[in-house]
Amino acid sequence: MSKEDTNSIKYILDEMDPAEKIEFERNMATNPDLRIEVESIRRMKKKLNSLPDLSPPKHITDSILSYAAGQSNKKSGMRSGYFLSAAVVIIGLTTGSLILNNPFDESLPASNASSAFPSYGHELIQQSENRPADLKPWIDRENVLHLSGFESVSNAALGNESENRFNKLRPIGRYPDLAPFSRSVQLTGSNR
Amino acid sequence: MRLNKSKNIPESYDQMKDRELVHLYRENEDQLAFKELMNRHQAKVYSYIFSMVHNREVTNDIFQETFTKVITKMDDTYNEQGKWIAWVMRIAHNATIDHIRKQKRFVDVKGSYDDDSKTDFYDRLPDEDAVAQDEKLELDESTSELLEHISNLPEEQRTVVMLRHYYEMPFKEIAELTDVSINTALGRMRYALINLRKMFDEELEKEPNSV
Repeated sequence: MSKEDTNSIKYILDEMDPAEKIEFERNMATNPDLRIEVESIRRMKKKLNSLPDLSPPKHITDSILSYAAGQSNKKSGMRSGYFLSAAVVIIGLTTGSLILNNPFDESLPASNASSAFPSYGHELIQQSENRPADLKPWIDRENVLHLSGFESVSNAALGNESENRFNKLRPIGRYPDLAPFSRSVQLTGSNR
Repeated sequence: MRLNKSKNIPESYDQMKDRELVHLYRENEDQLAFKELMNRHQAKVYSYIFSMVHNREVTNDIFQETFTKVITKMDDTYNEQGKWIAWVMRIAHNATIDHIRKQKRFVDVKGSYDDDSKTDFYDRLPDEDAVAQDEKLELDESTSELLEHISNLPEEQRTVVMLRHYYEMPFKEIAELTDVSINTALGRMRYALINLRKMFDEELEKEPNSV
């Protein structure tokens, strides 16, 4: 099919770019046969506009829609099947691991039972056991920190505790830049 | 043509693009989204099939087959980048062409090329369905005449005319769908319109003789 053969249909269906269109209209002006062909095709094209739009019968669309619903149910059934299987596997694994590492199993020795807890938790428990009882911090109006509850702690215990804390402090050397503010001991953290 | 809106479909679905509705149907199994899609496009798909086979029963079968495939294949073969309706049309077109070819399959004659209509024997062989189209719709005389002439066009020309008419499909897409070059698709459109013109002229010539 040559390009010239398809120009008339491209022109009628508005498939030409502006430059092609001008060129084609120039040709038409000098070629009566081309004008007749274009006119004839245009009339037929117009006739096609009377073609009706038809609708499918209702029972056909209903059956398609119910098929679509059935497919969706099937898909969601399969999906929930997958979820169910996954849930069973997860529950099984979790239960299995709990049975193997049961921290509350009385048949296990106490040391084993406590080792089932995470090490951080273990540390916290130990810390709370060593802490002097009933010391409560509070702040006054001048934002000064106070500790109350010393009354309930014996002097000896308090002395031990403060000595322990003091021993944990690490002495540092003098900083020349900070000479006016330097002290022989600076609180930088614990040795633990 | 859009059908009357179903009362069950929310107003918001009207504003949605096909792409969004398809996504809703695929991801959330939203039946109303699928219903809205069908509502938008069913008349064009149905009319296209009918214009190709000219038989209500066959049209119903092909239409149903098309949408059954659409539902079952949407998850696997439809790529949301492309136009949904173009994808549906490809399925409808293939199902229609399969049907037409099945009707012609066992005819054992030699093909001969006709220069006037640019068709071979197989193209000019009328479709059984088109011949048996007496169960006509209630259409005015000129529309019935037009449908009859269209049914006498060679299949390849009829396909291009109908795809263009019902979908305003660009020739690039028609060419892809029918597996030919754009120029060939344009040429088929031109011959189809010229052939239709000839058929109407012949009809006119016959009229004074029949009086």
